[in-house]
Amino acid sequence: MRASTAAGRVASAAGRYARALTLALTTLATWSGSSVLAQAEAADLPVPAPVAVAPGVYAMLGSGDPVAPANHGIVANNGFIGAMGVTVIDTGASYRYGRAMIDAIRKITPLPVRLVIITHQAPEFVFGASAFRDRDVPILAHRRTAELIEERCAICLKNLRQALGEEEMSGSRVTVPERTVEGTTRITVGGRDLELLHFGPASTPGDLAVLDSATGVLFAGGLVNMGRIPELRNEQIAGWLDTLDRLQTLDIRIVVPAFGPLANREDIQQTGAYLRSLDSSVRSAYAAGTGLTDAMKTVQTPKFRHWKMYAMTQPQNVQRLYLQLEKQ
Amino acid sequence: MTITTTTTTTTRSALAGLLSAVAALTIHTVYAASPDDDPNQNARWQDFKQGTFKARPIDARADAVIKLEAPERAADAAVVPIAIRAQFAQTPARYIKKIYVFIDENPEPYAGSFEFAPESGLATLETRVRVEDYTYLRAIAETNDGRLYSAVRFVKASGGCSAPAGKDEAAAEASAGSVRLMTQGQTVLGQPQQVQLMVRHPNRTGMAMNQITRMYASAYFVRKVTVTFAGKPVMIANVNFSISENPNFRFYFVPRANGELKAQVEDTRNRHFENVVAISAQPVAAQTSSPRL
Repeated sequence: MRASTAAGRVASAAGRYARALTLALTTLATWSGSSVLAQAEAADLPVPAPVAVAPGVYAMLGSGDPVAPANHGIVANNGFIGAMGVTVIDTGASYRYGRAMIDAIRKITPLPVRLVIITHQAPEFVFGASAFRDRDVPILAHRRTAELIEERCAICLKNLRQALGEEEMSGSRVTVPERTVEGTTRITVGGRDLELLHFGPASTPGDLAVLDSATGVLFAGGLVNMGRIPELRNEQIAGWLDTLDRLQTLDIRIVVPAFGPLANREDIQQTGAYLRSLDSSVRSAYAAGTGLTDAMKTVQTPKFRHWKMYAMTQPQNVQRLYLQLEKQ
Repeated sequence: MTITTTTTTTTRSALAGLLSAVAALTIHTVYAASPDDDPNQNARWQDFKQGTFKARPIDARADAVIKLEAPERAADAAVVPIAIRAQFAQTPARYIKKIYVFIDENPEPYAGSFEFAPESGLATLETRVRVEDYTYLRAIAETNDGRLYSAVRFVKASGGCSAPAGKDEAAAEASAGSVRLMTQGQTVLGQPQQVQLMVRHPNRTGMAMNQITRMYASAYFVRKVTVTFAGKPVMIANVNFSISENPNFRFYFVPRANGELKAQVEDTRNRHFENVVAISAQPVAAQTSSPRL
């Protein structure tokens, strides 16, 4: 009951700001037409139209599908916030996406981009940052995220090139954030107070969730997935569950998850429910002496079968947790 | 004069570097293996086949002999679980004596061999291997009558995008060598009993660059595993760094009486590790009345 009310609120807020968006687009049409090159580049990459989720807060929602040539790698969510300057949160899977994001922002506001925040190290979130660095926009992340990008993202980039092709990934490069934070930090950028929340290692060692204090919009980064099985890559389950519990206590009105549609605060625990179900079923299989190959085939989380990526990601997640149990 | 020479050398090496970079890129783009490729046409497989099996025919319809399981997509190329399942029990009259594992696109495609005996009970083996990108993976079974059978799978593996980096190599080496040998449930006389063997070992390829130090740690891996029951071999592995870190093997043996199950492990520095487990097997009839642990 409560969930549906909150969902309604999200929908009506989106409707209200969609009208404002249309107006902004009309006003800025002439301006954006001035850069022929930029328009041509944006035109051949069908980026999601920014959705106004609250005053001055926009989300660009990817498909949530696996990265594939047909979707140009536009699968994850990202967005931007601004009053007197723009803060970008996550940057998509490629340099091209980063460029298209800049164009999309330009269509909504002429305000300068002041800061890019990378919420966590994952291929679908980091590579657009190169487009912002080319324009000298500072890039911020948790220290561990910056370190992991430096250590691992050359491999992620190679994987994306293989998945999407050289052309789609052209210009993309490993871009290490030069500004870092260690823990939860409050910053003021472009006239907005942003809380960068970090409660310890969770979906990755350096997760940040970004809370826009004025509107209660939370960009949850890798911590929250809606209707898509999270790909466990560098997680700590206990820390992740603890972080979700803490987020639950905050004054949050709308959640922009890593993947999937906009959500409300209560939906945060869906990710937690998946993690608990996965963790307990892998532990049972391991305790029963089931081998890894069999565990990957047989360990299921039935309530989450309808989530995207289930067939592909579930066995991989089982493998990750199984191997961790083996090391204990 | 000196300056001229230096300049020339620099230019040449820079050019060579550029050329090899271009070559690497080209190979990657054009020759990346695809599941549409004919597995029989792979040049490296052809070479190995000629060298190892000569003109002996290999039956590609191996379903009645072995089945190979491997994930179609692997999130971590460094740990790809595979299962090679024998389709009949080992008997002195007919048994699988050797299984070869070959991974076409790996720097060293031949991952090694596993030898079995009638005392193995079942020539089924599970382990984890390293896989280079997109590749065919093959298991070739040789039966005691000298026939060869092959099972093939295509695996799409990604480099460990978020695998922990900068592991402490010294610590990994220091802890190398602990050998765990485990059986599950009550062992029954005359029935194949599964064993799990886990070796703590970095099993380094010597080809992985530390992204921070830009250095390559030298190759260091388990090269031989011999498992005996009551003094008779039940599984002998001659392997290399294609086996993942902390090598893990599941296989079978058949106890005909109580005895010692013994694993001996040898690595490339000639270090030897072993573990022994006393096996007490119950007669078949007793099994139903005994509580399972």
